[in-house]
Parts: sequence; C-alpha cells; structure tokens
Amino acid sequence: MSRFATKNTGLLNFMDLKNKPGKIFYWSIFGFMCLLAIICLFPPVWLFFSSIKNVQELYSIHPTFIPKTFEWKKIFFVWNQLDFLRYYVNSVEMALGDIVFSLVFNSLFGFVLSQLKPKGSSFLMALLLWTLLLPNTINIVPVYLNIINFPVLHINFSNTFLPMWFMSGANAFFTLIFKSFFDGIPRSLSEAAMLDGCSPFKIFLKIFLPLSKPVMFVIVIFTLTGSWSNFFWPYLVLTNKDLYTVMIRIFTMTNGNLSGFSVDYQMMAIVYTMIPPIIIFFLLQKYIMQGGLTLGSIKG
Amino acid sequence: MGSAFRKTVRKDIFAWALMLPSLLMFTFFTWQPLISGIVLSFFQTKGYRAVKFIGLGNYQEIITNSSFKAAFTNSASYTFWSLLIGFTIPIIVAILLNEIIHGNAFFKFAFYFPGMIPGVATYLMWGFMYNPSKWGVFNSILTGLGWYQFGWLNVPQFTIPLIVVTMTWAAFGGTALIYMASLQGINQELYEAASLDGAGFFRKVRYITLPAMSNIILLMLIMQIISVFQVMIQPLSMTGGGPSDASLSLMLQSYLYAFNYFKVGPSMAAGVITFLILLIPTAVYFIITKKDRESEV
Repeated sequence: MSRFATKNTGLLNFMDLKNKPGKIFYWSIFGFMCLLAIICLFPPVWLFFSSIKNVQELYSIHPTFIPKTFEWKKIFFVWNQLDFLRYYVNSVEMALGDIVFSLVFNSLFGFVLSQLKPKGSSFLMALLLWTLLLPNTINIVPVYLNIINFPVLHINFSNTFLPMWFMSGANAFFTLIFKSFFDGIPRSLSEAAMLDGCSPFKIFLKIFLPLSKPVMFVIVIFTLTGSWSNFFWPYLVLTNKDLYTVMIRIFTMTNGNLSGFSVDYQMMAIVYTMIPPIIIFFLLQKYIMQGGLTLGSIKG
Repeated sequence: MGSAFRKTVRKDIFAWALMLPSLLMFTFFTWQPLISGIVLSFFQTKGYRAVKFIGLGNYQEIITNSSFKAAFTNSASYTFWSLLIGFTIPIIVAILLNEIIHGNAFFKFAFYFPGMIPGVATYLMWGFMYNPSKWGVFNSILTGLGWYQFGWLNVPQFTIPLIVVTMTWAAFGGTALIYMASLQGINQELYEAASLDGAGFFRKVRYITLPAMSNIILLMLIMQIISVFQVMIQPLSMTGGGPSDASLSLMLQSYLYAFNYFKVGPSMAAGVITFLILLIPTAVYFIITKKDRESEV
C-alpha cells in the first residue's frame, strides 16, 4: 500500500487514498479493471478451449468452460485436413508484398512532397488530405472494375496479389506520415549533400531512409498486421481457392455451412489465424501501443 | 536566367518522375474510381457496363425499395448504439485506468489485446459466442444459471446492439489509450486546488478532466459516426444482414447490389447517398481540425 503515499498525480492523490472510503473506491475501480481485462482476454481462450475439447463434450447438455477432454492431436489433424499451411504461405506472401510497396512508394512520395516540392505539390498535398478525409463509400465497384480490366493495359489482375500491393503503395496516411517525418529532418543535411553533388535520389537513399528507420519500423508492423487481417479486397480479388488467404479461408468455411466442417474445426481454424498477431503483440507490445497512439493522434 | 529556369524544370520533371508510380496507384485505386462511381450512379448498367444515361433512375429504384429503407434506419441504429456503448466506454476506462497504479501496464496490454485479433476472426468468434445453441458462451452461462436459452443475433431487436458490442470489444482499448495520452497534459495543480476546495472525485471529473479532454472527445465522436455509419464487414460476416434485413446496413446493401444481384447502378446510387450523408460530419471534422492546425502555427 506504500505506493499510495507517493501517488501525487491524477484525480485521487495520496490524501484521498489515506482514508478508508478512498481505499475502497480505489480498489473497486481496480476490481472493475480486472473484470474488463477478463472480458478482453476471455473470448479467444474460450474459442481455443471449445475447439480442442471432444465434440461430444462441446455439444453436451452441460457445457463446460475448462474442457475435461483435451484432444491435442486435433491441432495438427485439423491443420492438415484443412491444408492450412497453404493459406498461411499465401497470407505471408501478400503481406511481404504489401510491406515492400508500402515502404517504397509511400516514402518516395512523401520525400518528393517534403523536399523536392515540384510545381503542383501543394495541390497534391490537398488532394491527399481529402483522400484521407472523404468517406470511402463509392469506390468499391469502380476499383473492382479497374482490377478485372485495368485501364489502358486491359490486364485482368484478379487472382493475383497485385491489387492489394498497389493499394498498399497508395496509402495517403502513410505518405503523409513519411512527409511530416521528413519535414523534421534538418535542411542543412540535404543541402550539404547537395553541395557535394549528390542527386536527390541519392540523398533520399543515403540520408533520409536511414534516418527514418523508427517510422519505417512502425509502418512495417502496422502493414504486416493490417495485411494479415485484410479480408475484403482479397475476398473479392482472389477467387481461386489455391490463392486464398487465411481470412478468406475462415470466412468461406464458416459462412452458409457449405463447407461441411463441424463447429470445432471451424473454431480451430479461427484460432490458427489469431496466433501470428498475438505472438507479434507479445513481442512488440511497446512499439505497437506507442505506434497506435502516434498514428491515431496524427490522424486525429 | 534561361539555364536556371531549365534547371528547375529539369528538377521538377525528375521529382514528378519519382512520384509517378505513386500517382498512378492513387489515380486508379482512389481518385478515378470516386468520380467514375458517381458517374455510374446515373447510368443503367448491364453486368458491370454502363449502358444508358437514366438520370436519377437508380436513385428512384433504391429509395422505393423496402430493403433500402431498412438499411438506412439500420445504419442510423448502428450509429446510435455505438454512440451509446462504444463512445462512452473508452472515456470511462481512460479516466479510471489513469488512476490505477497497480498493474497499470497489464491492463493496457489486456485492453489493447482484442484490437490485435484480425477483424473477421473477431466477428466470427463472437458469432460463435452468440450462437443460439447451448454451447454458445452466453447460452451456456444462461443455462448454467438455470435459465432458458436465448436467440441472441437471431432476435431482430438485439442483432444490431450485439454487433455493436462486438465492435466495441475490438476497438475500445486503442481509443482508451488515445484518451489516456490526452490526460497526461492536465495540469496537476488544478486537481490539488480542487481537492483543497473540497471537490470530490466526480466533481473533479466533471469540471477538470472532461473539459481537458473535450477537444479529442469531439474528434473521436465525429470519426466514430463516420466509420460506424459505413459498417459493412461486421454484418456481412456475423449475420449476412439478417434476420430478414434486421442488420442490413447501407454499405452492405450497396455491396449486395453489386456482387450478389449484379446491379451496379443501384449499388453506386446507395454509395453516393451514403457519401452525401457523411459529407456533413466530414466537413465538420475538417473545419475543427483546420482551426487546430491554424492555432498550432
């Protein structure tokens, strides 16, 4: 309880926490937080327990939360049965392309807007801001039309990852983040390099990219997790089952009961898709929460 | 003079060349689709092809469609419930968690955790939790307490609020962290002075904490209205819009028109109507943040 004595910030300070009502109030808030934490962590645990218990136990008249039966081999059996490795590989392939496109093109665009500022760049800035703000309710069909019959080239990009990669390369939000980060790099650095005869592209590669590692790291994490959970466009674009990503797989196998897989199989498949982001969150929670905050506040 | 001019022109051409791939991607995946979508909404379509200009014909078709009316009220209903549940919870959590000095980092981790789970996985998981069979979480609790089973998502009056609960579960932690960051800027002397004046917890919240958060609260409010009014994937993966249109939203309606009924014109008309409705909060957001941007300078 000695920690109370040093709490001199916030609504409740050490004075309030000295007496009994103050302490009761504090610990009831604490209890409420514990309850919320359980609500946050419970559903995935329930899903895992339900998927691993014996089917008979799942369907029994008296449902159990903690399973009496753990069929561990089901984890591997269902994985093989559903051929889930293939969907993992597809999702990873899509994510890698998303990351490359996102880093290369958004940073280049941001660099041009921040440093080279050609004629018309203030117009492009306004356009990007509007792109970010305007609701996205009209785009779906026209974008789909562009994908199945790309303008001028008349190529059908369906059943390739390219449309998702292109969309990652055209991310107004990341472009503006790169732009505002590059704005903060001292002009003297690029001017000195310019005097040494460096071309703008070389300045970008040798000075700006190395300095922007922290931003790039955050963008890589968010592109990776965003790409893993990307559902809508892959679902429209990838109709060939061999190209399905994990999200398409769990959506198609749970919807309409056409799949014929039993409920525990469906739940197990959903658990598979949760594991990579959960591992990433455990490893990088500090960066992710900090990054979510900065990204959120820039947006706001 | 002439050579300097040529030099800037050459520099500009080089700069535009560096942007060219980005500009092409933005053009074909964002800018041109917006315009061609508006154009398409005025055309009779066959498959995905525009056939004939019919003015407001598509608009007439969807407005007289009873599903569209349901979709419109439902979208408003999603927004209402998300303001009631999803908007207030992060504010309360942020204010309360900011006071907690035991296990603070763990709580932040736990509250952010649902946001890390992929969207579709979240919706499908909650769909299983709401399952009307005995093994659904909520029914297993109810029957465990000796009560009856309930239909959950299958009960039309409950479908939308329950979907909103799912959305709130996924998103409240991230929003609460943003609010908590804004609490760091509060001058602690205000709290001390208020304490000396005998103000209790709730008075301090009312007169110090909430006013200090008001700017960010307003921004989050508008952003939430804009995003929830466009809800689509949640009903698509949890209910498919059912039972009998009870959770059908405007954007889901637009999606179904385009990809299930292959009527692109009406789909675009629904998209344009949603767009026009959302222009109002978007403009408000733009004006507020513009004021912020100017005051920073």
